[in-house]
Amino acid sequence: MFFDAMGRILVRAAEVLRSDVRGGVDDAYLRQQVDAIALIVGELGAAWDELFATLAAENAVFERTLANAGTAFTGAADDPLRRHAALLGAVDQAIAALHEQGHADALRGIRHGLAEAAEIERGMLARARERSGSAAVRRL
Amino acid sequence: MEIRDDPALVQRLADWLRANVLQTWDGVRLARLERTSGGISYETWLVDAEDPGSGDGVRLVLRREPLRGPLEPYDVAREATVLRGLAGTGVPVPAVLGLCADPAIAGRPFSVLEYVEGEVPDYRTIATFPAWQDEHTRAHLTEEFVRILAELQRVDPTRVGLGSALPAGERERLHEVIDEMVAVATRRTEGWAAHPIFGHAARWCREHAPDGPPQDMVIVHGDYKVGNFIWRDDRIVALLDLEGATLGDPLQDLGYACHPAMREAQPELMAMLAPLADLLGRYERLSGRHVDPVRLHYYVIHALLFHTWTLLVGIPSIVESDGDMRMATAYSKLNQVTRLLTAQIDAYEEGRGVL
Repeated sequence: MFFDAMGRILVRAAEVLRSDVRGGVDDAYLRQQVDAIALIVGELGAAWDELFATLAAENAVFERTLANAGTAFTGAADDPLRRHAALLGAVDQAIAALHEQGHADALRGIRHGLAEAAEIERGMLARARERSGSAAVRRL
Repeated sequence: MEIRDDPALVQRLADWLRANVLQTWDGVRLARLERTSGGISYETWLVDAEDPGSGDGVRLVLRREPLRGPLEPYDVAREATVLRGLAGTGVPVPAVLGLCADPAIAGRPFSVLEYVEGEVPDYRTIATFPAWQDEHTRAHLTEEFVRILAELQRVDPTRVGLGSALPAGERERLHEVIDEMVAVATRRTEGWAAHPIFGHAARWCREHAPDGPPQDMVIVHGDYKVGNFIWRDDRIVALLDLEGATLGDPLQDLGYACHPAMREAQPELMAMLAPLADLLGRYERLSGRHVDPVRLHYYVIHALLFHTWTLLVGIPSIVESDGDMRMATAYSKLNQVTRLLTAQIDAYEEGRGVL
């Protein structure tokens, strides 16, 4: 029930913040706070159905990027979120080593992997914004 | 606790304003306290003060140090010194009306500035600004934007309290700045996943830092963008947010103005104002300096590194202490700066110039 319902619950929570809570806030700063919280909750809800697949896709990009740079990822975390954090750490360490060694070509390859993962994340968030109606909302 | 939530604090503030800023008034009543900004920068409050005796009123701006943040140590006195030093130069700034270092008054030190009437166009919304939509007035807006930068670079740094500790050279200064960013990020993101683009960009910027003698250094605003000035009567009437002012390379602010994330709507318009060649032509004419395009490109990448750093340490700061959720929405920008940084570094290494 939790995984099936949570995306829709978050989307609805954002709608309620905007429709029922915001109007009762008589302060410009606090209204901005409500808007920001509604945006975060609404986007997370709208992204929910893609979250786990996106995480797996990013993990695959990082694993391939490390392999291409000649660094085998030996992290054993099965949980995809923990694996993601471990992969980020491994890429970070690989970058440090490649800078030490002056491997500009390998660093270019890692940059392309980082850009590819960022593009996957951008796509997920763009679609979530579109679905949640937050595409035009101003952010700091 | 917010200022307005604490009646005792509001009264202390009113009493302080009566004693230090509005001395000729019979008393001070604060009719309005509205916070206009927050996040990782100073809190800015609009304050409407009234004299209950005469009925006189005045709007003031209160700048309070944030509770905590990545840009520590915060120091409103430093910004006030810069603003006071710029008064009477070609750089228009709000007058400093008061400075309170005593945290017993408003919880944290604050300064009180003149309220300057006008509009604050923002790079995210400037396309709806009437002066931007007309080609002729947009060109004038660009000229003003560049002219104020050139004026700022003409000011003697000793006048604003920045001339006493010149670094040995630009490369050494940049190394110190980057090392400090890395140290703060390491400290403030403990327990958070690494963000590899920051480590890469920090090392890259360290390795490619240009050099230059200290005598070539000028006052650097540090956040020179559309959004940090007030526009009225077809001119810039106040430059804002000088909290990060420092000494450095003349091209640092110009590179920052070309920050790619601040022109996403129209990437060909630097600072959302003009094509690169136009902006550089105006800068060379108004400042009398030659722009080395490779050096400029470095400072564009440096601006992106700084942006990445503020996101990286700013979000944990909010989660752990500040509570300003407006800044928390910046989570979506980490992928943006990653894409922009990787593209700009590739372009630099391939000699393709600023994208």
